[in-house]
Amino acid sequence: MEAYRNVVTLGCVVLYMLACIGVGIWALRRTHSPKDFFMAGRDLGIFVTGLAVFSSTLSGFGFVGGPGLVYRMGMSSMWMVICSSIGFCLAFFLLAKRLRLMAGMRDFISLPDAIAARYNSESARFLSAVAILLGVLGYLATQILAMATVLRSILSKFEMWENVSIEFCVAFSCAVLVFYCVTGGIIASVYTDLIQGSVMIVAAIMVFVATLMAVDGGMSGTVMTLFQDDPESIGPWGTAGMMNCLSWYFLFALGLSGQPHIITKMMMNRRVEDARYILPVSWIGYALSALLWISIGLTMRALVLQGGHPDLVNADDAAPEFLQFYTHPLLAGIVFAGLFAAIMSTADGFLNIGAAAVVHDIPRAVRGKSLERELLWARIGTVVIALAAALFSLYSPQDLIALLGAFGWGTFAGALVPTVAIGFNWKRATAGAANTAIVASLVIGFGLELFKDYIQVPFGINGGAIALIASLTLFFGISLMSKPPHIDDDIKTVMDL
Amino acid sequence: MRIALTLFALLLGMVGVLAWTVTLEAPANATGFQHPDQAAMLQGGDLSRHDNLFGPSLTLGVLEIVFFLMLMALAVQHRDRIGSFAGPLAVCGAIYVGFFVAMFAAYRHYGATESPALYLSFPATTALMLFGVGGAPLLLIALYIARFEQWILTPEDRERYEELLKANEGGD
Repeated sequence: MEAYRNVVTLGCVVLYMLACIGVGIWALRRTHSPKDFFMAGRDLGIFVTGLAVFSSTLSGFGFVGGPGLVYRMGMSSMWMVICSSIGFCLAFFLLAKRLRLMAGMRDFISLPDAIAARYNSESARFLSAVAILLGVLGYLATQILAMATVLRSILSKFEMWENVSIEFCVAFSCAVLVFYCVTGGIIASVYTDLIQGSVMIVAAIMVFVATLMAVDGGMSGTVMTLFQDDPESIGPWGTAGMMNCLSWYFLFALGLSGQPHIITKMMMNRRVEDARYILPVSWIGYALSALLWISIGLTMRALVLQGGHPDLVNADDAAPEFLQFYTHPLLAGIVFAGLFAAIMSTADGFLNIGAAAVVHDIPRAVRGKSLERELLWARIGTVVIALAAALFSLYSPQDLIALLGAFGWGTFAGALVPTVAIGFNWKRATAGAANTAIVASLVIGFGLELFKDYIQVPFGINGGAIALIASLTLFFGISLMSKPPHIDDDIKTVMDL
Repeated sequence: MRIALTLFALLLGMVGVLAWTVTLEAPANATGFQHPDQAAMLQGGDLSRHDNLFGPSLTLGVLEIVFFLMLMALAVQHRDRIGSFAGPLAVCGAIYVGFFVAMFAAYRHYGATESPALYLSFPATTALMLFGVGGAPLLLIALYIARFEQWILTPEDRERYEELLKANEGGD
């Protein structure tokens, strides 16, 4: 079986991609309107919605970047994982009910629709759509590059594809992604999320078991190895320190309530009461998948320190190296499929909301009405955004990609947590405060990243957390100093429920 | 309004702590340093790197947790619902903050022995982070499930919503 490791890996990835294409064809027959394309007809069940929410949260970062961070810094990045319990809790308490009720009442098909209705403001709609589009392009570019890089590493192990180009890999992996996103819109996205989430959970559990067997003494043996080398690495703060960890905790916990690709799904479930069970399904899925994040990183660090594995040149090699040398070929194949699943389950959500921003929200904000033949334009918009992100990932300077990639979680958090998570629960929140919060998060987040060589934030305090605290403070301050805003009666009633 | 003002005050508190932190001198290993033998690893080094950060970090962490809890109160506050939710929220909050403070207390003595006692495979302070700070919010998730019809969407809310839908003559 070992001799066929690469064949098995490629086979698992191909099977997974064929499953995605199959879902795309199935979903095509169920997509007849913009409401189907963007909101899945608001007809999703508990399990589908729960897995879609969690798999959108955990991107490829959880399978490669996360283990790499643990390998490099020890327990520091665990603060990004343990925050998931309070993060999902906050998102559901704050948004699950009100977003779903408002969406049903006013027939929203996008988050900016909801923002425009809440604040009676087309400028708030426009700004939120622009913030979403910028974040989507940056995030998508990094996800596409990650997919292509992994695909190239798999293909290059075969003689006939030894020199396969990154451009080919971008084109191929984008083609599968775009196919099911164009044919089936968000229906295809959430039902592939069902497959993707299941693969991620299975892969993570099996890898976790494999890590326990890789080091003598299991996790205890791993921990003692790390302790003897550097107690701080296995302490609660890792190597990054207290302030860095606490800033990550705040940003990733509260920021979940501002991620448009996640909270938009809260408008899609069949019954608002289903939120009661969607929350635990989402958290359990995430917690099980995150087992891979912690276990591979710690285990590889221990193996290298013990001398059982050569030193890694790049921390992000921790996961691929573990799969190559310490797992059964079939498990490695499943995990690689899980990696594609993690990347695509986030990317497809971004594609859909990006298309909504371009063909629905921005035209409505500018012209006062949607485009005619909106479903057709939604499909065209999906292709255009994917193409733009792919070209951006290939031909833009890496610094710019990193800049826009960093624009992701933190900027969405700073822009949308005050505007949506707070604003939908507090009648005193004003459109002016919402617009200020969105602009402030873009300026601060962008500025800190662009000038990071000149602005040294002490103790590793995360710039995204600073932007979030700043935008929240401005949001509350401006709202409290302003006259109470006018809110439409039906929106006000829902906010009182 | 009281909850909103409390949230604003907590945010100003966080801004104050960050400003306090900026005035402190950061030691060279504040965010780790290159491992002497392994190319892609960092080490944290001496625990004394956190000596001047205990106060700000403990304060910031507690402010963050209280902020999260107050957000949940904001979400539930309508009509008289916050009254019956306040007690369980306070209890869960006390447990949550308690685990966070206990983690700090355990960290004070961390690294003092060559072979620490392990709890669920981790040193005490790390176990408190993973299972205490990470696990305490599960109580809130359990409350969400168990008391959904009492605190989140009551039958009266549902009825009122159906009336709204009829009045709007739209949606689903």
